[in-house]
Amino acid sequence: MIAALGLLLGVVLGLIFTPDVPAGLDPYLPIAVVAALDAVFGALRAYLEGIFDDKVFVVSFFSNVLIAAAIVYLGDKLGVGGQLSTGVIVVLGIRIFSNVAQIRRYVFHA
Amino acid sequence: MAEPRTVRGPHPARQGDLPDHVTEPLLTLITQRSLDADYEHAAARRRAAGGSAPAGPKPRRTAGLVLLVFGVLVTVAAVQTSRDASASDASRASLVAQIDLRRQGLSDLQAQLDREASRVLALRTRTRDLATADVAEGSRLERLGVRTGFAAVEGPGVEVTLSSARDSGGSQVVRDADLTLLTDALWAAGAEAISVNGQRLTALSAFRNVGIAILVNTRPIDPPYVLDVIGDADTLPANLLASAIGERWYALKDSLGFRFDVRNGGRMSLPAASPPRLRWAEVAPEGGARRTQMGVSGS
Repeated sequence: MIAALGLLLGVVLGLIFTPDVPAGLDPYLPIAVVAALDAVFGALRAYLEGIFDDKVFVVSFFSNVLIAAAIVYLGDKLGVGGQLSTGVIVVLGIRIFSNVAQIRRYVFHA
Repeated sequence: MAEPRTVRGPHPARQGDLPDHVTEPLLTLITQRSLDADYEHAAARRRAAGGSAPAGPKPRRTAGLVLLVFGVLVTVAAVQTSRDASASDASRASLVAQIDLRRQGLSDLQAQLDREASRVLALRTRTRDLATADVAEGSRLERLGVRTGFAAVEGPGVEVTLSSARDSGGSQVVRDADLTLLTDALWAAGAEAISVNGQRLTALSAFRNVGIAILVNTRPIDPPYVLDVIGDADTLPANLLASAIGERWYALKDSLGFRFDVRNGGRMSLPAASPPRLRWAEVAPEGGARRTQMGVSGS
């Protein structure tokens, strides 16, 4: 319940304030969002499996976001930012898909 | 790395075997480890510490806060993307408009090119026609030049020598009218070009007395008068005798006692007369030949 409330509040806050992202951070925002999405789905799956842990969630969320952004930043500095962000998105996308598949299994008992 | 050997890794329990992350294909590995392993570790630690695992750990306030951050992140990204999208849409629309405009311009230019090409074709045809006309006019000019005396010519002919009678005086010297009669007779006899003492006779030439001298083409000439006549050297003297005007000439020269001699000149070349300078007449523009008198006239 508190999780759903937090999410809703976050969306509302974001809509109200719509902070301007500095142009320099523009390319990292989508990657950060995908990484956060991965962490959130992982947490949901862990919750459904009964092994959810607050600390692990917080740590995995922030480390995911930071590492994804750092990889893309490094790629930008090396001139392969596009390729590296593609790689990050592919890996995170596979993780998200398999987590969601597991969640589906728990929710629908299929 | 592929050769089997003992691995001293973080999993001593699986010694003698390669770890998963070495043997498994990458994609399978990613799929299998899609859940953060930390959750398992934490759960195992809890089980070890508290004996039994908690039935359903509830997400606490920290998780709510993190989700709040997540919500903000997602919303900001979405808003930013849509904001950028409107900007990039605008630039895209302007690009599309520009493309349309340029394409329109291109087709205009293409049509213009077609028009110009057909014009070039027409002009080329006209150039060819004009070149043909030019050649025709050039040969006509040459013919006219020969006829009127403004082109140098050569050909067979006769040489006619005329001078006054010895110890002649008064009216018995050769005058302009005599030379005029002689040249008229020569023209009538079939002469094609005549020069007198090197002065070519043109359509405008006339003999004129000034004092005792005779002017032709405004140049004085002295006796004896040598006429180079291009024409048929065989028939010209006979024609001169036979024609009516020739008869008159012979009568005149006999009565005045002129010394007159006609002989074959072989191949002769006659100079061109210098064409008169035109001060007022200009070549009429094409199609303007029918223009009538337009200026102020005295009548």
